[in-house]
Amino acid sequence: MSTLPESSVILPLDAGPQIGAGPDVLFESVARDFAAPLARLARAHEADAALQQDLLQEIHLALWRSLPAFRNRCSMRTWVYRVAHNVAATYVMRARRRRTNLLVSLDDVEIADEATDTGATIDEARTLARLTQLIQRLKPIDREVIILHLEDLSRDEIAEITGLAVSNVAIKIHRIRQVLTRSFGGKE
Amino acid sequence: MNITSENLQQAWQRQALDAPRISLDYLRHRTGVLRRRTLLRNGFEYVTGVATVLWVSWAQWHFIVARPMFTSAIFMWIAGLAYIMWQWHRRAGVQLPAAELGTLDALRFYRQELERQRDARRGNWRWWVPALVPCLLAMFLSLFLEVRPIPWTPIGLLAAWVVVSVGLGIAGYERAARRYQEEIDALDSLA
Repeated sequence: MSTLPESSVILPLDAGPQIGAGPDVLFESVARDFAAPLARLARAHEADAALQQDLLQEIHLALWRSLPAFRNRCSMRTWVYRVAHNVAATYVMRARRRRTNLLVSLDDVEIADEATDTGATIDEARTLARLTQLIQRLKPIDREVIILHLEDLSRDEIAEITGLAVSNVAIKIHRIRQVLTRSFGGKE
Repeated sequence: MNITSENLQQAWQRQALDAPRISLDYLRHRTGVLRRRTLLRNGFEYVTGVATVLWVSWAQWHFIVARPMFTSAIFMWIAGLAYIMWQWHRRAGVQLPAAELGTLDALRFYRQELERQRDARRGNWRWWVPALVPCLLAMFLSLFLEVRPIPWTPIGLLAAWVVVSVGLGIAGYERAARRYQEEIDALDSLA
């Protein structure tokens, strides 16, 4: 399941002329195709709306600068996520200075009492707000993996983007599923 | 209603976000602002250094040219400043990571950059103080040997200025190095 327009983001092998036409054309296309995933990424990393916009601008700026170096060695989707998550991870480290809350790993994350409140209706917006809060409490690398998992990227893609081994990604995804199950009381 | 991992993925991707459009003009503007700011900062440092040397040379021209040892001190000062600027540029010049680094590599790069900035400041008096010593020695020798009567007050003021400046410089750099180390320790706690 993916809402990403896959066909439009993986460039064909003869995409050279498009790249040659200039990074601006490519950037316009990438910015359009990935607007929503990048906005979700910014929201997952930053709770403050104004700072979300700043982060999003940083990501777009990094993407624009990176596109001339794109050589079709990976899909455009992988490239975009790699650049975006690189910016986001560094942002988390820098933002830590003004944060007082402690970041935790997937193994240490504690689930709030309301997590068991799964009875009948859980409003989707509330679920997403809780999910976002959970993500924002995680250490950078766990945060990246869970966001990419939610965006429905494959283990291989997540490994390529984060630099983790595929086996490590598999373990983390297993842990993520457990944490989500405990948090939202559903099935794995 | 049970929420499965797949439900969450779908809900996540359905999020109603007003993803703002960031125009190329804006990105060009941002890049231009950053470039200008860097140029201005670098330019200010270089211009200040050159202007100081020129002003001292012009204001004290007759005093300087009449005293060969003081003239050589001025040249040693210029050479010392040039050496310090080169060392500073080499050791602490900001390096940008490749944008397409993986997350782990990006974090490693960030840590390395913090270590680099820390090392450029910690104990850096070992290379910038010796660069100024020949100039200062020549200046003091000139004041003792080439000026009559010996100008004790200017010598005292110069000596005090040197001690205070060097002391403040060393303390400032060591404090900055400690701040970088705290940042590195905090980063390690997240590993």
